[in-house]
Amino acid sequence: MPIPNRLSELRQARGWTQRELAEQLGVSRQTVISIERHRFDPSLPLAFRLAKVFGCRIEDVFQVDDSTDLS
Amino acid sequence: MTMSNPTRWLAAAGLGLALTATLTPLAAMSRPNATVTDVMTAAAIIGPVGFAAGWLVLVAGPVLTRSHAEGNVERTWLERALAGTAVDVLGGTAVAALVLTTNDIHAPAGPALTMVLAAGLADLGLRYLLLRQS
Repeated sequence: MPIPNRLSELRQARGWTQRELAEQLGVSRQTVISIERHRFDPSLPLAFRLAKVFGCRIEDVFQVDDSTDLS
Repeated sequence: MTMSNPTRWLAAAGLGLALTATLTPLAAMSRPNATVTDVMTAAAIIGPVGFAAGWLVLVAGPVLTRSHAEGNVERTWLERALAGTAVDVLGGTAVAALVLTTNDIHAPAGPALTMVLAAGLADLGLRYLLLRQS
């Protein structure tokens, strides 16, 4: 079960398209789509790049709390 | 050269068609007195391999060789598909070898290996597409 995230919300708040975000991250647009739809957990380096691109912490992008299924 | 995704798929299909159209007559000519069935069989075997080669070179290749390719979802799909295909090919080959050995059947190595390759590529393509749709 992928970890919930705020990728779509953060991207739209900045007015970026999925393609623009993908180009900034150096990944495919399909990767951004899959993360936004909570169908794919990014690698740790990509999670750090996401946080850097949005200028926030990883935990501001990915929502992990005591109820999150990390299995 | 940067191509859009649909363009890459079209180009891959074109390459697959070109490979099939080129290699099928060559394969058919290798058999004396080849019939239409022989040609169709050759096309049925070469076709999926040709399209798989087109996909590998023109669709998967550009995505998987980017600077941050390790983060791409396509790489995860390909790794999962390859792992499943490896199990399928090993299992299928083991069963086929058992059947051939126990029944004392002597299959020609060339066509048999070509069949394994074609089946493996078709299996890989199907698994990748299923993962992509899931």
